[in-house]
Formats: sequence, C-alpha cells, structure tokens
Amino acid sequence: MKNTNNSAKVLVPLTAGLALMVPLFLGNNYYYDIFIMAGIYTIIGSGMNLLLGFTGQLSMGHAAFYGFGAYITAIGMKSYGLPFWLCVILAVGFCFAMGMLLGSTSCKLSGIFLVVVTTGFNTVVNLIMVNWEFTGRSFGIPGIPKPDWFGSPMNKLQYCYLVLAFVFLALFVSYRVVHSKTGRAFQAMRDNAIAARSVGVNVNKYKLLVFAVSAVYAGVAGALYASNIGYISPTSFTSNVSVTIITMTVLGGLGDLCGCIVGAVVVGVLMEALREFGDYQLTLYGVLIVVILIFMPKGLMGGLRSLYRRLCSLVSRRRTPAKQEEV
Amino acid sequence: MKTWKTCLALVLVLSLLLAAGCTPSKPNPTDPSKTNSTSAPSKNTDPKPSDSTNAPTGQKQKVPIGVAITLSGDNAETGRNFEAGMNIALQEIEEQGLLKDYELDLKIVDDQNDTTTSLNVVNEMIFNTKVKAIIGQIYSTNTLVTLPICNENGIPMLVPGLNPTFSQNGYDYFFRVCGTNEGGQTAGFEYFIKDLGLTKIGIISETSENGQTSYGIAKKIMGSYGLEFVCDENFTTGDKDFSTQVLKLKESGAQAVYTTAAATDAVVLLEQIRQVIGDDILVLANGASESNFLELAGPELAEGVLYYTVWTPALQDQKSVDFVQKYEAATGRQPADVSARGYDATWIIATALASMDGYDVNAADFSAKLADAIRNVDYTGLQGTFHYDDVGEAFYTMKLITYQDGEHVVVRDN
Amino acid sequence: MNLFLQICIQGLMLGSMYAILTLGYNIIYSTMGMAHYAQGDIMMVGAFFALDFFVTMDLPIYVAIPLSVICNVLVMLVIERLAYRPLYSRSRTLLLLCTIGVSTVLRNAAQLIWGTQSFNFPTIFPGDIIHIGEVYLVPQNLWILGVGVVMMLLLNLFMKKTKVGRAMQAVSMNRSAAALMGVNMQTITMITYGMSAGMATLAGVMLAPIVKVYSTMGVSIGAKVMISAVVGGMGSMPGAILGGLLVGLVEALGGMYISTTFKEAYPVVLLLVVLLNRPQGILGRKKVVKV
Repeated sequence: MKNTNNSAKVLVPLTAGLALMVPLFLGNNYYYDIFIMAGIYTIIGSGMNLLLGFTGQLSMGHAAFYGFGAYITAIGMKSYGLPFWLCVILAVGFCFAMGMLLGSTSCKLSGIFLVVVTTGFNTVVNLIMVNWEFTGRSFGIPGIPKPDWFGSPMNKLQYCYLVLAFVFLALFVSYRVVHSKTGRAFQAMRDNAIAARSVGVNVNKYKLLVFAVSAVYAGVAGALYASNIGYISPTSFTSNVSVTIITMTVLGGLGDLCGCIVGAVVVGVLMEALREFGDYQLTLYGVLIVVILIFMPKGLMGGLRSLYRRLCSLVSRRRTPAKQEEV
Repeated sequence: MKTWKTCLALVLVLSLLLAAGCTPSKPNPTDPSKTNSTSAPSKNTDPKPSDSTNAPTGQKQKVPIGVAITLSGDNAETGRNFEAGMNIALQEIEEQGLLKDYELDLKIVDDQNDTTTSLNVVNEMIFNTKVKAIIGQIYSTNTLVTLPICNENGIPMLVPGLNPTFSQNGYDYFFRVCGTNEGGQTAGFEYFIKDLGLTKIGIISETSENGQTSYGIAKKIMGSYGLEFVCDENFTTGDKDFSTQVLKLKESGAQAVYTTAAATDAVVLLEQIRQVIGDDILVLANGASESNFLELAGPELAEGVLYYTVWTPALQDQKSVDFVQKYEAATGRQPADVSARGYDATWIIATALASMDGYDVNAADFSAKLADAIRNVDYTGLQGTFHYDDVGEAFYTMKLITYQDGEHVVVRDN
Repeated sequence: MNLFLQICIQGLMLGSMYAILTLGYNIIYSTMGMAHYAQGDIMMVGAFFALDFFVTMDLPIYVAIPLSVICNVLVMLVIERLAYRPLYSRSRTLLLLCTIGVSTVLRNAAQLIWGTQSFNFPTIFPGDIIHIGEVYLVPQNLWILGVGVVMMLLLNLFMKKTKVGRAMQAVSMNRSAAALMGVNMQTITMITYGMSAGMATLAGVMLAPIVKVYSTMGVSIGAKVMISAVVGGMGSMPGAILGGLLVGLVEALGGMYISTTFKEAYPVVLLLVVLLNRPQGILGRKKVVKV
C-alpha cells in the first residue's frame, strides 16, 4: 500500500500540471470546445460516481439537474444580467434542494424502483422545460453570454481554465468526502445497508446528502455548459442523456475517484475522434459497457490501475530480485 | 450439453445473417458519389472530373466548402436526398464549365442530428479545415447552435431550413436556400379560409422546437383572419398514440386540420384520423413533404393530403423536369424538396464564386467577399429566382401541393 | 358520457398493449429477481424479425410469427448467456446496469442491420371499425386486449398446472431451496427468458401495424412498461395486467380531461401515488429480506 500512496503523491501533481498546460497547446475553438466538454463531463461523472459508485444509488434523472444548472445560468445571465458566479451559486442551491427532494425517494426505494422514479422525474422536468414560457419552451435560450473577467467577456482559452478550476474543485471535494468518516459510511451503505444501519450509520442522512451533492455537481456542470455553448434547448436534457451519464461513469470505473476523468475522456474526446465511424460508434459503445461490467467491474480506470501495478511489480522485480515482493 | 449449445449458437448466427440479408431495401439515393457520404467524411474532395487537371487559364483554386447535414439516425433519408441534389448540381456546373478560376471542394460531414456533434463538426470545419462557406443544417435545433458561430467568424452559412427566426437576429452571414414556414402556412391557411371558406380548423402540433414555432406562426395567421382554432392539441415527440387528440378533433367538428408532425408521425396520425373521423376532413401536414411520406402512407392514404413547399416534383417547368429525370436516373427515386435545396445551394455558391474574378482564396477577407457575392447573386434555380434581401431571405411565399393518385399536384401557387 | 366511455376504451386498449409487455417483464422479475430494462428493445427486435419474415419474405402469417418468435428467443438466450449470466452472482445494480447497456446495443445494432427509417407493417386483423351506439372500437385493439387476456390465462394455467410452471414459482419464492429440491436452474432460466422474449415478439407484432416498425419503438413503451410493473406489483402476473391497464387509462383520461401536452407525466403521477401508499405495488407481495 505504501507504494501506491507514494506514487499518488507524484502522479497527482504531475497530471494536474499537465492538465494546466494542455489548454495552451489546443490552438483553436474546435479543440477548446472538446476540452471544455471533457471537463464538464468529468464534473458530472464525479458526482455520479459518488452517487452510484460509492453509495450504490442508481439515478436515471441526473440530466434534469444538469438542465437546472444550465437553465438557471442561461436565464440568469441573459434575462437578468446576473454575473456568472451568482448564477452558479443559485444553481448550487437549487440543485441541492431538488437533489434532497429526489433523494428522499431513494431512502425508501432502491434498484429498479429508484430507476423508475428518477426516470419519471427526468421526464416531468423535461416536459416542463419544453412547455414553459419562462424556459423558452422547445426553442430554449439562445444568446447566453460568457462570464466576464475583469470587464470583458472570457475567451475560449480563459474558459478552459475556468472549467479546469471547477474540475479540480470537484475532484478535491470528492477526495475529501471519500477519505473521511463520511466516505467509510458510504462504502458501508453500498455493501450492506442493513448491516450499516445496525452499526449506527445514519443511512438515510447520507443517502440524502450524496444525492444532493451529486445533483450540485451536475448543476455546476450545466452552468458551465450553458455559458460555453451559448444556446441551450430541452433536447440536451432528456432521459437519454441520463443514460449516457451513467454509462460514462461505469466506463470510467465505479467507486474510483479518477474514473470520471477516464469516462469523460472516452465520451468527450474518443467519441468525437471516432465520429467518422458514426454507424458503429454507438453500438460499440454499448458493447463496451457490457464488456466492462462483466470483465472489468472496476472500469477502465481499474484496468489502468492494475496495468500500472503490474508494471510496477515488474520493475521492482527486476531491480530487487532477491527481496521478497511487498504485498 | 456442449454440442447442444454449439448448435444453438450456430442457429442464432444463421438467423442473424438471415435477418441482415433480408433487410427491406434501404432507399439509397446517393450513388454517383458514394465516396462523399458518411463512411468517408470531412477530408474528402469532390470525386468528379474536376480534379484540377488542365484548367485552360492556369491552376484552379480549391475552395473548401463545408456541408453539415444529417446523414445518420432517423432522418438520414433527408440528408441523403439533399446530398443527391448537390451531386446533380456539381455535375451540371462541371459540364457547363461555369467555374474558370475555382474548384468546389465540398466537405460533406454528418451532424448526426445532435447539437454537440453539430458544434464539433462546424468548429472543425471553421478552425481546422478552414472552409470558406458552410451549407447546413437541415434541422433547426442544430442550426441555432452553429449559425451564431458561423456569423461570429465571418463564414457565410447557406441554411436549407424553414425556421423563420434565423433571419431575425441581424446576421450578415446568413442566407436561406428555401422558403420559411411562415410562407408555407400562409399559403395553407389562405387556401382553407379564402379559397374554401372554411372556418373550423384544428391544429395538432408537436412540442418540438419546429412544432412550437410553427404553432406560433399558425396562431398568428389565424388571428389575422379573426379566427381561432376549434381544436388546439399537441403531442410529445416519440408518442405514437394520438387517440386522445384525434377524439378531441372529432368532437370539435373541425373541417380541416394542420399538423406539424414529421413524416412517420404524420402517417400514424393520418391513419387514426381517417379511421375515427373519416375522409371529409382536410389534412395539411408538414411531414407530407418528406420523401418517405408517400412510401409509408401509400397512395390511398396520402390522397388529398396537403403540404407546402417551394419546389415539388410536380412542377412542369423545363428545369424541374430535367432535374427529376437526372435525379431518377442517378438514384432510382423521385427527388424530395430537400433535393432541390441541395441543388440550389450548390449552384448559388458556384454562381457567387464565378462572379469573384479569381480573387485569392487565401486572402483574409475571401469569406467576406464571398458573402457579398452571395448577397448580390442573381440566380434562377429550381425553387425560383434568388435575390437576397438584407436579412438573407430570398422567398417569402410557398406553393401548396396535394397528392392525387400517388402524384404531387399543385393546388395553389402563390 | 359517450366521450368518457370512448376515452376509457381508448385507455384500456392502450393499456392492454403495455400489459402484454409487462407480463413478460414480470416473469423475468419474479423468477430471476432482476428488472429487465431491455424488454422494450427485445420487443423491437421481435417486430423487426416479423417484418423480415412477414413482409420482406412474404411468408404466410402462421409461419412468420412462430419463426420470429424462435429467432427472438434465440437472441434473448444468447444475450442472457453472454451478458447476464456472468453477473448473477454480483450486485443487483451491476445487473441492472448491464441490461441498460444491452438496451443500447440492441437499439443501435437494429439501426445498423435494418436501418433508421420506419417500416410499414400490415395489420393481421383487418376489419372496419365496429360502432356500438356512439362508441367505436378498432378491431386491432380489441384483438390486443383479447390476446392479453388469453395470455394471462394461459400463463396462469402454465404456472399452476405444469411441472415447469410450478418449478418457476418455486424458484421465485426461494431460489436456493428450489435448487436443493432438484430444480434445474439453467433450464428454468432459459425457459423464463424464452417465454418473456416470445411474449415480447407477440406484443411487437401487434403494436407494429399501429406505430410502424422502427429502431426506437421500444424506448417509450419500455418506460411505461416499467411504470406498469411497479404500479401493478413487481413479479405479479395479474399485477402486470392491472398495472398496464391503469397506466393506459390514466394516460388517456389525463390527456382528455387535463391536457395532452403532459400526457407523459400522468403515469409518473400515478406511480408516485401508488408508491407513497403501497410501495410494493397494488397486487405486489411485500418482500421480506432475511438479513
């Protein structure tokens, strides 16, 4: 175990540093937008990971929270001229409340029941988005401005760093939550809720909390999405999107903090790169999900980790053939 | 047990192969330029004889033009029809030797009818491929995302879409290559109210972006006649059960109904209307203009159904007749109205380029000059004569067409 | 009054469609304890097979339907063997996620194989509309209701009278005990999935003339099926019928008297009402989990 902690101390700042450098080499809007979307997916994936990976709650309604964040930002910035950071705070508050609301159903339901209820939630929210004058109905909200940075609107490069800042924040918060008493309670809940209750873990409280927190993550991601793309419509927040969020999290690795990055890169970057094979792209994606569930339940990140471990043990075996391997 | 399992697997494989082999023939109108379609996107040059050989007055400059249309998913048919129309235009432009200084380099890419993909596609076209103009997109939810980007970056966008709001933003780089829904509905309602004297009209609109915009226009037009819809219903995209809406329509005693439904939904709705209400009620359907409507509905069900368009295979002028002939020869199918849009869009770009006297493609303001050339273009195509006004519109009126014995017949020509 | 009657009939017709699919869904849930998210998409595959046999190859209907049932059952069994079986010993969530993945694969594979457009499917039960007073009935829909009822009765007989049926019931009550008593789990699994796929095919064949055959035809109906199952009682056969009919009724009545715009929302409201008052569903059994 010592090995992994040490390597983490090196790898984490390294990847963070690399991530900070990447936007400088991107060059044009095409790459900036891909980078930004990958960052947004990472944030959503991180929240979903907390919900599904760490506490085992399967919610098919997260596109609704994504939508809440997007619409609040869009309407706030465009119609009311609110600054971006205020919209984000509003989105956080609203999503937290709605997350608690939906989470309360999770306290009594699980498995397919929760799936059905959350899908229903998504459907109803989408119906409201489509038919409410305030949200622009099916037409949506065009002309969403970018946030201001010292007077003038941000350009794409600055926006990349804004997204990156939120990504770091999201990952950091997840890390702190998981590596704490709360995190251990999550794992107890996921593995056996009844046993957890019997040792005094307040399962309901944590279920609500995680639901709300993951909703907040999705809301923040939605806010970033709206301001970047400049035009949002209800078609971006349907149940299909919820399914994509889940499959992305599974791909990356459930219960793995860095899994969301891998999942986001696959969905945001790889899918775009493979767009040429459009016909087969989605089928292969579905097959990939099934294959990962069966053979690599720890997701792609888990696969990468075990690969890394094998490489490390190979290296250490070479260096010190006489010494016994550390377990 | 093992042999049993193997047999099972074998039978399954065979049946899947059987299934794949027995697929109902997929209509595939694009044949002359298969290489221009989905399987080989963006980095593809026009495979026609215009391979920059022996331009009599020196080397022809390649002008990259991006084409972002839907070539996959539910609406792949529409994109393929558009592409086929473009190919006919390309052939003609080549044969007539219109372009002396330039060579059209069309980069046809599938936008998958998805907003994020559309964003990536157009971004790639503008920033990586550095196209000088973009033709696209067919579906308005995608255009709404990408039109501002094109305008911001000074790339003229020729849009074959019907949503009237595109020209309401003061964009200098927007040009429409067809009519608008407003013109179409005006024709339709004029027919119902002025020509036939009907007063009881119903509307069944989809709660999609297209449906709601059309609904708004329809309400406005009805209002201008001092009328209201006797039956005002809508349906969510994907819902195929129209029994409630049809029942309400029946109860209202409507004499005619307008629906914004796309082809497949329109057929399902039409079936239910004919079943429950009968043949007396007139139906005006947006989806009836699509090429697969007649195929799905069949001549009997399509009889008397109205739709609006700028161009239809029913037109008898020489240009249209020639076009239909060439299209059928190339693809084995009748062209749809989107095919005419593709044809006209290509010709407009070519005509505009021809007027630019070999201006340097690599000049920084080439796109701006191209936009000016398009603005001043004087081109008579399938859909009519294109003279763009300040907001990028060319046509404000449309024709009303109906089906008779499986053929398109013009009812009203504004 | 006539309008009310008419709309109730519409609702019941719609609901019977949901009910047939929900029966297949509930069979899997009761025997295997898993929720088959891809049920709607299996129906879609069955409809496409029927399209191939009945329309493209122009086989007579009494040959085409059994053939499509067989093909669809094979597809289902292969999916079960490859995708589901490895996950039975792991958590329920993973299995559910897998069915979601399978649903995506089926949908996109269908698009690849058969194309993305809609195809016409002729009705097997032709006939003009029957008028009883002011009320009208569409023969196709009547047949759907009839088939649904017959299916439920047959299923009931099967479960109670045949050895296999009783074995399936035993498995649904207590898996390990049933295994100890000599029930061959693999056979029962295959029969369960086979029956479910067969019923889905029939449902697809009956739905196809109304909505046409296209690759996403299983999506919205799949969602309604899951709501019907929860409302009626997961794992209960009469519950499936009841749930399906209720959802159909609520949709039709709500659409008529409230608004058609929110038609999709009414089943969700029904779902919430039922879950708040009777979480196991109207005819469901409360699950007692031994810790």
